[in-house]
Order: sequence, then C-alpha cells, then structure tokens
Amino acid sequence: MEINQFVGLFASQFEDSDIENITENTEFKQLETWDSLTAFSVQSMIEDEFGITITPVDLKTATTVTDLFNLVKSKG
Amino acid sequence: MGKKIIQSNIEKYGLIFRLIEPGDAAFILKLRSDPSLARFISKTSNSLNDQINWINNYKTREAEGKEYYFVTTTLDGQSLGTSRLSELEGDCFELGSWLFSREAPQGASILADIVTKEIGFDMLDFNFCKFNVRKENKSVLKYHLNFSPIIVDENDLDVYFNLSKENFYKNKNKFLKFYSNGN
Repeated sequence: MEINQFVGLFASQFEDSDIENITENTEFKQLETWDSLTAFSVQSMIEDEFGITITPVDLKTATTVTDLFNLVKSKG
Repeated sequence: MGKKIIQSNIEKYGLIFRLIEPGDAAFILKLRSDPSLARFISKTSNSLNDQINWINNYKTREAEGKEYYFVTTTLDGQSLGTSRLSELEGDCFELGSWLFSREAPQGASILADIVTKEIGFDMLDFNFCKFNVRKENKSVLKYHLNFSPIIVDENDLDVYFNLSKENFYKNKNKFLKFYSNGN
C-alpha cells in the first residue's frame, strides 16, 4: 500500500471537520477530534486492512501519519 | 425477583469503578463544562451546590437499586470519567453519562463502557441495554456500531439503540485485545 492510500484510510476514521486537513505530515494527536474512540477506529482499520495489531504504546511512538504508516510497514 | 444491589467498588481491567459521592460534584462539573466534551450532552447548571443536590437525590435512587452512577478512577484514585446505569426495569437497563477527561489514558473510556455493560449484563443480570447517541457525535456512533446494536428509533438529533447481551459478548473482545491485559 502507498502512503496516499494509507492517508485516505486514516483520514476516513475522523470526523468531517478534520478529514480534509489530514496529510502524511499531519501530527494527528493534535487534531481537535482525536480521542480514544478515534484511536480505536484507527487501530481497527489497521487490523482489518493489514492484519496487524497496533497497541496504545505503539500509537504513542507515532507523531505523524507517516510515522504510523512506517510503523505498520515495520510490523508487517 | 429483585436485582442485586451494588454497594462496593469494582476493580477490573486496571481501573476502579466506585459509586459517585457528593464530593465528586466538582469533578462532574469540570467534565460537563469542558467545551469539547459538552458538545453532545444536555446542559448542566454551573452551580456546585446544584450538582451536590443532584447527587444527593441520586443516592436515594442508588440505595433503592434503581440507578448506579460510577466514577472511574486509576488504581491510585485519580478520577478519569463517569458512566451510569439507569431505568433498571424489566429486562433492560439504560446506559448514559459516559464522559471521560481528555487527560484519561487511551482506552480508559472504552474499558469503562465495557465494564458498565458487564455490570448491567452480568452483575444485574439484564439481557438488553438501551442508549441514545447524538447523530453529530460520529466517533461515538461508530464505536457503538461495533457491538451490532439494533436501531430502534431516530429523530433529527439522536439515534436510539438496543444492544443484546449476546451481541455484547460476541464483540467485546475486539476492544479488550487492544486495551486490556485480561485482569
């Protein structure tokens, strides 16, 4: 999967107000609608699409969407 | 036959669930007046005394086994959020007051929701729970849909759900594997 596809999947987990602002360089934990439930949606999306479990500790290590994409690739 | 009465703290998944006390009024007020948390809940009086009075009235309902309002805390007692079981009638209870501080550890609100449902389904032996969610509260709607509840009604503002015990237990492990060590 390319980073652009990942960004699209990632952005679709957010509320409408944030979706259009999300790029590969977005520091996603700074977004207004980032919360535990959105984090769960992201974890679920990654598990469904990649078969990989991302833990809350894993999420803590990622700052940007690209960081998360690289984390998924490293676990794949 | 009457349902079991809950009187003591519950510890599960590394969190403590204790029944609310008047001393929690300031915490509740802080949660409910946080602009980001208050977007989708009913308005609350800003008066601490009103909140204390509300809790005192609630304690009567709690003593009669009609309602249970929990504060979720860390093991060392730091308050993280709230959840509530009410309308404990027939085969169904209502979920509500699910509100967590933005500083709570990731997953605490989800674990609290699961424990609140376990209290209703296991400890109190109900077979269904009902709840409603504001349509604009998309992350919460999406979360609840993971449990495969039935939509029983909706209007311009809210969607009304009914979740069976069976579907809760079918689906809860997909959450626990992310956030819990199983204790």
